[in-house]
Amino acid sequence: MATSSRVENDSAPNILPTAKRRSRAWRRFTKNKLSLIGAVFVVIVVLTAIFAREVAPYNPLQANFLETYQGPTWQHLLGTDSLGRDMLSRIIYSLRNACIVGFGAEIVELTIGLMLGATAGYLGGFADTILMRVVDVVYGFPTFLFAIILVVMMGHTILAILVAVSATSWVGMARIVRSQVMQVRQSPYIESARAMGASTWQTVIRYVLPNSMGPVLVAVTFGIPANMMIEAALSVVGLGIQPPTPDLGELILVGQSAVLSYSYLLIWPALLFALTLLSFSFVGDGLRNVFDTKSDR
Amino acid sequence: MALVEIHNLRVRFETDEATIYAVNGIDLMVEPGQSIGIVGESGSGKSVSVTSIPRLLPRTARVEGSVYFNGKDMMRATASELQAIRGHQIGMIFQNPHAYLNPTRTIGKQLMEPLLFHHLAGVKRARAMGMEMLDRVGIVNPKARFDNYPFEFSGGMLQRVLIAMALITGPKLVIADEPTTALDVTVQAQILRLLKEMQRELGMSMIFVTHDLAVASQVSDVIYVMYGGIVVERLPAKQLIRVHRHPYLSGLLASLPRVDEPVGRLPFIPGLPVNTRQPLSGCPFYARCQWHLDQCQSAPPLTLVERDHEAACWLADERRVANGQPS
Repeated sequence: MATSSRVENDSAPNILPTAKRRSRAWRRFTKNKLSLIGAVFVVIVVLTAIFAREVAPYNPLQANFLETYQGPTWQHLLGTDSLGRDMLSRIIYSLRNACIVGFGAEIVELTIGLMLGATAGYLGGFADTILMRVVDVVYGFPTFLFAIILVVMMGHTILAILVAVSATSWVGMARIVRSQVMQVRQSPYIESARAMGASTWQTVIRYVLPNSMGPVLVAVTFGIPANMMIEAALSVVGLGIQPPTPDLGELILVGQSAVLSYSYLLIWPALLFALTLLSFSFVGDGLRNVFDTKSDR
Repeated sequence: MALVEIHNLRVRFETDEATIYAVNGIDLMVEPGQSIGIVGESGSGKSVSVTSIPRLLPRTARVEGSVYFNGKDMMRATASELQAIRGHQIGMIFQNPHAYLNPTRTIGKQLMEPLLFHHLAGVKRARAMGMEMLDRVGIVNPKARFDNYPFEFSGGMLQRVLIAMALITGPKLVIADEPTTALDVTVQAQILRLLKEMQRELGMSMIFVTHDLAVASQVSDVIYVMYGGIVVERLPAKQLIRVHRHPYLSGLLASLPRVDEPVGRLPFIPGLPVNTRQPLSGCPFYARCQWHLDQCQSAPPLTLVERDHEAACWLADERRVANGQPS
């Protein structure tokens, strides 16, 4: 019987292979060359952090009093610091903390934000009011005060810093998720899902959240550098990783005290930090282009 | 026993600004295997009436009256009971296929979902059934199409997919809420034929909502004409043109443009649709009816004027009225 009403004959040419479909997003992302450069830089930074042990030419903690304050040489490409430690190795190792806190805190943020935001946004009403008041309270809580308390209580461990950074920053994510979910909830395909007999859980997981992800992903790419910033700032005020372990914040702090005599101690870590943060921003801009379908029609 | 029995259904929407009286007491029956057409203009309460069968109305809706589906009291059913019925025994086909499909999931995944939600098949079996269903609704090359996304389909094909989704579980009732309104005329004809074929083949009941009288008379056995949230006339589809009684229906029929007659001024029904912000009192068509009587201030009941034919008009009952005009 189907043949009787089979009129729309569009066989081969309409069917895009999966690879071609992906390239649509990729093309939009790379339309802005800066976001492509940013993405490459981010990947390099992350790989360097992961393989720090293999990449770094020296042990970053190894002091050598015969080679203090060396300018860039072939042995020490970025020079050495006041204790003769290799700057390049120290910078490479310092990326580890930045990445652990940057990505780790973002994962925590995303998890809490998705759970609370989706619950509040989808259920609405009383649940929404309660959860959003909690968010308001946490939003009003100063990040640094919280960090000080945590570090004093838990000691200068990476875990304490991770908790301190993520504890207050999830509220922004929760708000974004909530607003997205509230918008998506109104969509006809949600009604369609309910008409198919989907449970609330199935509706949220398969229909609401995937359609809310665009702005959330963009927020993630801006959240990661923000977390790195807080981590570095904590170590500048002495609440971060304890000194012998290299940390970008600490490197910059030390560098700026010696800036007049040995300016390279400040320039390299500061430049790397700035470039990393900038790259994340560019990636975020690129992703925004991918998800913002209005701008190219 | 009738598959669907609706008695004195009333729906109103309570918002902060106003209360909307969408449905003001309708009775509706669908026998197994029967096809019902509900016709009415925008805001006449036709969509609201049918979406209250699977209880899919938004939370602001206040529903009164009784709705029985397959002997089950839908007004008293729990959320999980309703969930088990939706998509399994009642299939819904919506108006705008682009909007009613999840843009982030492939056609195939969405098509399988009713089977998976109701544990009617495993993933492998569901996939096979999905492909078969795509083929049956006339999608060419279902294997390649299965993993496409909705944006890669045309409107007519998406509507076919929606039909496949609604029918894949073999429901007892399919509710089609203006399924062809968003499509152009040639595609509309294909879709209507497909729906009708599938309905006959699977022996389902169908409720077909439309504002198009011609479409309704093509696909249904019985037509309910709605106006102002009530049913003003119920008649067999075959009689639609010949023996309609309610002045509203005759006004509607008169205002259909015809291609086989010289072009002239198209007649229309003067006045505005009913204000749904007030509770209904009297005949909803009173203000626009050219034959209204003082009597019409009180609502005329739906009375039998001949076999299988009811009309809610004082004139239809008292005098012998031919096609809505007093003789």
